[in-house]
Amino acid sequence: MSRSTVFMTETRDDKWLVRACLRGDLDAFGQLVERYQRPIFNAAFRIVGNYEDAEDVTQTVFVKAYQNLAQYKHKYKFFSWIYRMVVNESINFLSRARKTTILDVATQSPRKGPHEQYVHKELEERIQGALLRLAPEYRVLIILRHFEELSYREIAYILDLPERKVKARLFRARQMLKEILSTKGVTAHD
Amino acid sequence: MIEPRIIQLINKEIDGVNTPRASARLRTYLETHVEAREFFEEHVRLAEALQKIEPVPPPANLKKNILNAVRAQSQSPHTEARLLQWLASAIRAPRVPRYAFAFVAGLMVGILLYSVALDDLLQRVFVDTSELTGTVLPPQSGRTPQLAAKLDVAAEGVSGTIVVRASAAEVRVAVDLATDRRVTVALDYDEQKLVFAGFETQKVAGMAIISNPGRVTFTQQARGNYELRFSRLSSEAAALRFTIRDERLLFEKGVKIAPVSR
Repeated sequence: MSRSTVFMTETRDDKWLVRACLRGDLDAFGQLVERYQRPIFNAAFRIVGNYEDAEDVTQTVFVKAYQNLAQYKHKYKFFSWIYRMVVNESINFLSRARKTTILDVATQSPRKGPHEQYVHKELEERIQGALLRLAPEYRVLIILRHFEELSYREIAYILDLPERKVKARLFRARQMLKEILSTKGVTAHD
Repeated sequence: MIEPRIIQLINKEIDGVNTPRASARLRTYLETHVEAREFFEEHVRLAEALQKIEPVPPPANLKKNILNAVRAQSQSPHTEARLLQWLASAIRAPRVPRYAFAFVAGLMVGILLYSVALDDLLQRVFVDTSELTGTVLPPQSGRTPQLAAKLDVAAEGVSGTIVVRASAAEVRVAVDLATDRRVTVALDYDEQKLVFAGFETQKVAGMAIISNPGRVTFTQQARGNYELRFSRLSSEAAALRFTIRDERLLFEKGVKIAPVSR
């Protein structure tokens, strides 16, 4: 007999890992965390504007993702699904913290530590400060489009908005960000 | 005042989603409309500045904290959550479906008790081998296998041992490898003298074992620890050849198992 016998299947894509997680394989979930912790953390950081808060948000997102994996629909990309969670969780976090006013960039910087090199670059500080002056619903659009480089369609799924609304808000967000930077006496090419 | 459709085109140009024709139309328009051109250039500079922002590395122990938090949750949250949801929906259901749920639940309990009592049904339950740990083997026979060969594997990104034990009735190959990438381990054997009988393994995510006559192949990533078992078809000497590959051949070694003196 020349037919192959396969004892276990091997795949490495997100959907396979999700199925393994649903069977209770924590190692598989560890691989998903490894794969997405960086972009999820960065999305949270850019939205909430604080390193420690971003860490809390990211942890909450992954724990919720694990708890709700059974509800993940495979027709969507896993990373879009988890991005939606980090956006919602970050915005909810801001609402709970009632951070409606934007502090100066200096106070938004994380406490001194090994990561200060990233936030203390001058242009980055200015842009991050300007981002934090945007309302969260506009800030999120800038982050998803310019930092995460997602398409209009992916952003539409994550934010549960029609694509035309995504475009309209994104274009408006850019204009607002430009105006904020100009008001601060900064042009984007400084 | 810039026309809204031009603003649209400019933004879509920044996002790289304009058709070549729209792009060309925009460029032509910008050549003769200063305000629009300045608007476009400001947007380009903004996009370029945003692109320079470097991602922030997450905290070093973030993954560990996440997995600890997940472990602190229920053992099988998905099974339990689904079961709870099902029970909740059954309780909330109108009268007729509720009775149907009760009937089905009673039927399932009856079947379970029947199968436990008989034991026979359990032996025919399908085993999901993707979660398999432990042993999938026929009953063992013959003397305890003795050490026939031990191979130390030290290749690029792969290290560990392959230990071959043999008795009159069987050959056991214990593989203990650590890899920093996905590799394929192949074991070629003489199918006239050996037949693949099964394997024993610890659960390893992302692993596959494929058996063909004369060759067993398995892939692994990170740490893999498993034992392959073969039944001997004859008392003659038998040869095994091990290879480990990623895109290249990393390791190759042959082993000869001595004939059985009867």
